[in-house]
Amino acid sequence: MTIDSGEVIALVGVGILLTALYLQSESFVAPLIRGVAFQSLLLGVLLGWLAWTDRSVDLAVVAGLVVVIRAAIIPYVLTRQIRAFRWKVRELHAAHRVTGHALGAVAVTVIAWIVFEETLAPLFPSAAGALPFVLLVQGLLMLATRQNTLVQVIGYLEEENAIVYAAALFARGFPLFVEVVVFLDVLGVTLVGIILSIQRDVTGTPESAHPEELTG
Amino acid sequence: MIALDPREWVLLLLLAPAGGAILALLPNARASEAAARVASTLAVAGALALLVTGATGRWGAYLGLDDLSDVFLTTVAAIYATSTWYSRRYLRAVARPFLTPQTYYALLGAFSFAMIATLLVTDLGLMWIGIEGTTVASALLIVLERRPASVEAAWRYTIIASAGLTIALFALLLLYGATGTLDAFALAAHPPALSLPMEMAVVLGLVGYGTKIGLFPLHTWLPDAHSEAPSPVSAMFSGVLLPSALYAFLRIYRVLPTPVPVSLSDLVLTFGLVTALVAAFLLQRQRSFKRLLAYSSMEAMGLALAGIALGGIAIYGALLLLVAHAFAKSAAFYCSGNVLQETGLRRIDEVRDLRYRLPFTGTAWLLAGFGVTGAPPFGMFLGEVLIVVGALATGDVTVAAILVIAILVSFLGVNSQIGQMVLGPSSAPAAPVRAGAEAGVEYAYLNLGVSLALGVASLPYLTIAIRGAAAVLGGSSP
Amino acid sequence: MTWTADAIVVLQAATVLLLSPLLAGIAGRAKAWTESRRGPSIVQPYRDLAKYLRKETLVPRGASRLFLAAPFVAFGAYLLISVVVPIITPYPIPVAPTVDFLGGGLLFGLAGIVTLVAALDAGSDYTALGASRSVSFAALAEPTLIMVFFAVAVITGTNNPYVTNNLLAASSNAYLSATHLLVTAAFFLLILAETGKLPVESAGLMELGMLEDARTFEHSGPLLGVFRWNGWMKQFLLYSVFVNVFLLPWGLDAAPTLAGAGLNIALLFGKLLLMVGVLAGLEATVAKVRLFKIRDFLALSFSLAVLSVFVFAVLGVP
Repeated sequence: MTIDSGEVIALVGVGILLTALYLQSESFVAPLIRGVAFQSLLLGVLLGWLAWTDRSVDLAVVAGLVVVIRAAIIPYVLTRQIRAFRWKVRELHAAHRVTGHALGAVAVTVIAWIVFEETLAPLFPSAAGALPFVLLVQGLLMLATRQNTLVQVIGYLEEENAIVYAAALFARGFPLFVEVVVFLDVLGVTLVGIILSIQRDVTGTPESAHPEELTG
Repeated sequence: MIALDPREWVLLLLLAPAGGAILALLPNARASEAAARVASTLAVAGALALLVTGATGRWGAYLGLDDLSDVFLTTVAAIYATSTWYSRRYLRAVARPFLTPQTYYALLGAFSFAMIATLLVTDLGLMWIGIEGTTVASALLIVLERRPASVEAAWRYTIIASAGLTIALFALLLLYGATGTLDAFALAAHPPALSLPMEMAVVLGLVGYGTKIGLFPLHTWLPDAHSEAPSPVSAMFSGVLLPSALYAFLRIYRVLPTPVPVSLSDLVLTFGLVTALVAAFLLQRQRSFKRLLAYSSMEAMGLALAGIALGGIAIYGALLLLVAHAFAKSAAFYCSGNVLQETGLRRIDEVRDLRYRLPFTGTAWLLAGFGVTGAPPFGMFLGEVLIVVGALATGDVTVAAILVIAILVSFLGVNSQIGQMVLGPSSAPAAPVRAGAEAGVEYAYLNLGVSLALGVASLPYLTIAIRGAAAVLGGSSP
Repeated sequence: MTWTADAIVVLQAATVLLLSPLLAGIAGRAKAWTESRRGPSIVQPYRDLAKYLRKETLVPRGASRLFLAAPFVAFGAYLLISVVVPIITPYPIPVAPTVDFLGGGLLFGLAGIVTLVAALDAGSDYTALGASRSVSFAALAEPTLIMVFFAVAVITGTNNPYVTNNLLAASSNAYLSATHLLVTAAFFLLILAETGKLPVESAGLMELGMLEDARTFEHSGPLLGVFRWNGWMKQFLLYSVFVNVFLLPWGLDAAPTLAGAGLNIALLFGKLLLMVGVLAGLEATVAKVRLFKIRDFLALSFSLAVLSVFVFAVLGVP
């Protein structure tokens, strides 16, 4: 049975889009972590498929890295953080704004796509070309609208996914691609672990509060 | 002058901070501090040697140097050294440090290593990794004093800077797709034909690196990070980190063929002007003196970016401004560190009478205030004048007017506040000056001297390098 | 043979009119069966209609003629919809070109608006409450409906529901495309909201929790009977459009004869029974969401509809 490469790309693209929409509207943190792990898994599948069709060992390595680090290890580390901080289990202020976030996600998707079509389309002739850029903007939206630190990390992971996605689709010969991916992942894990443990040690308070002193 | 191969100085520059960072982890606190000091001094020596010999060229696949790198390297190494030497005085007085001195010096070394590495490589991707590395190292340094506000500042800095750098990485992807290479030197030597993806790459690079430079509206991490970080680290933020991020953006900007398309230079100019104006006005409302200095840095970055966008002689002015500002701002932060630790106060309206309590520090601070806001005869004044002249040369009076307004407003804001703190009378009886209260102020004077020299005289070698750097960026020199 | 075609038109309208109470009765019985009750007989809706016709009409003081006319205007809208969408034929019947898919959506909106204004006209607090609630949900449901029709239009290049039906029945590529699947999901969620199934249960007469029923609270007698019939027709039409255009477009006999049409009626009813069964099962497994969450539910359905059009724009239908 021959599988058309375009269909695999399309399928993964739709899956990633739907996951991004889900991530925007969910307010419980544990499903969010699973969601971003699933998104990374989809990316890994795409990379694996591309590695297969291109017969490229580099890409296969990257696919493996993505699946292991981004879909397994990082979510595991983050989930442990939830168990450590019981109060981070849900982001209350987002629970009240699911409609706004969902509609915002959709609006942002359309706007990002329009911007993409106006400016970048010639460089990305592939069918699903707009999707990495859309995902990037979705990650930014998540960072901007959420206050819970774990959720902000998930937004950052979504952005990284967008970069890996873009590189997978268009710049497979990108020098240092593998190294950059690894670096990003290790960086992410380290920072998350350290800063969150600092937060517990120093404050013990939930989401980024706004102390009186920080004005201006 | 020992005629060593420039390559060896480059290696020294790289190995010194790295070695210092590793050696700083020695269990003995004194040894660690000594190692850090030696390492930073060696770094300065290396940078000066490269500056004096005027070495340019490429070594290996990824290392390269030109006048632009020289200018930034000198600044980075010098501020790294003075901050490291100042740190002893600061660390002694921190009550419950979150980091041991060893960890602190190690992180400082790692921070500097990442920045120096960024300035020494030719590949845009490696530059990106270097800047991303500085985020990691500096985020932890912010949390030294174990306050809740510090943690929030560190977190906000990390997440905003990382998000911005991801956008910058996207820009690099675009650039790679459009040109097939990420070698900044090669691209500058043979600029490829302008295409829409290249322009998008520059725009995204501006937005992405702009978060680290502190451009409006991506600057929200800047005041918090500066005010919560320990003073030597704040000095490095203002004097070194922001310019390094600007350097990374300049390398991308340089890929565009000269003359730069008007739409792009206008965009950069707008960002610069808006940043400078917003910072100048936000200055007035600050209640903490460290945040005041942070907004002043933001304004300086805005002015520098505007200068780069204006082209011609304004580029020379922008570079001069960056160097002079780095030295003057670090001096200001060292003074603020002294004040903070001696008085225990952070708010402007609570600090008074510094001329009695801390005479040397107060004087230095007053002078530094002039230095960072561009009062003559400091170097920054010359830089700002050249930028305004460059604006007038393009015939755009509005831009020049906006620049002048931003400069004047920030001048008034910063200096009136500092003046109140230093010269303002206080109702409390004057406390006797504690012995050792003003330790570390010598570094402030040292840096002030450099900043002054830049304005008054043509510093040998450095001025030549700045001319060369301006030429690299396509500008002219007086 | 135009009289055959006209007869088919009448047959289609009669199907919707006469079979919709039956469908409602079967749905009620199925739901009762999942709750281990026997439930009312499946012809109970007919008896209810007869009962309503016998009762007296009370009109609130201060209500205008709109109060009396609204049920009939809505009835007329639904009747018109019943002859413009594919219910018993896969080919357009003579009256079908009156309005296309988008027009059908607008007709649904007309029926809703007229009911709404009549509710406000009644001047009662409960009807105003119901009106405001149903409007706040309609704000998200109407765009979803329109988006769904746009999605269908982009797949086929036309707003003609008959063409869509034929295309989807003929091409498995189009049927399995992401656009079609997403829009089917969106439309399904919309049907749950519009026909008042769990988790958006809008039927039920607990005063402070009333949604749909509050709008008709002040109508009585034959007026109320016509409103009830409107509700059943709406349910029948939505289900029919769903199965005939989106979910199961296959099997309709294209022969332009009365016999063919009759066969199609049976087939349609079979599909509708399947739909009723699935929905009864669904209702047994989910719980009612809080009032404020209904907005989130509808936002989700709207997002899916928009995404389906977006996916088409980005990926194209192979």
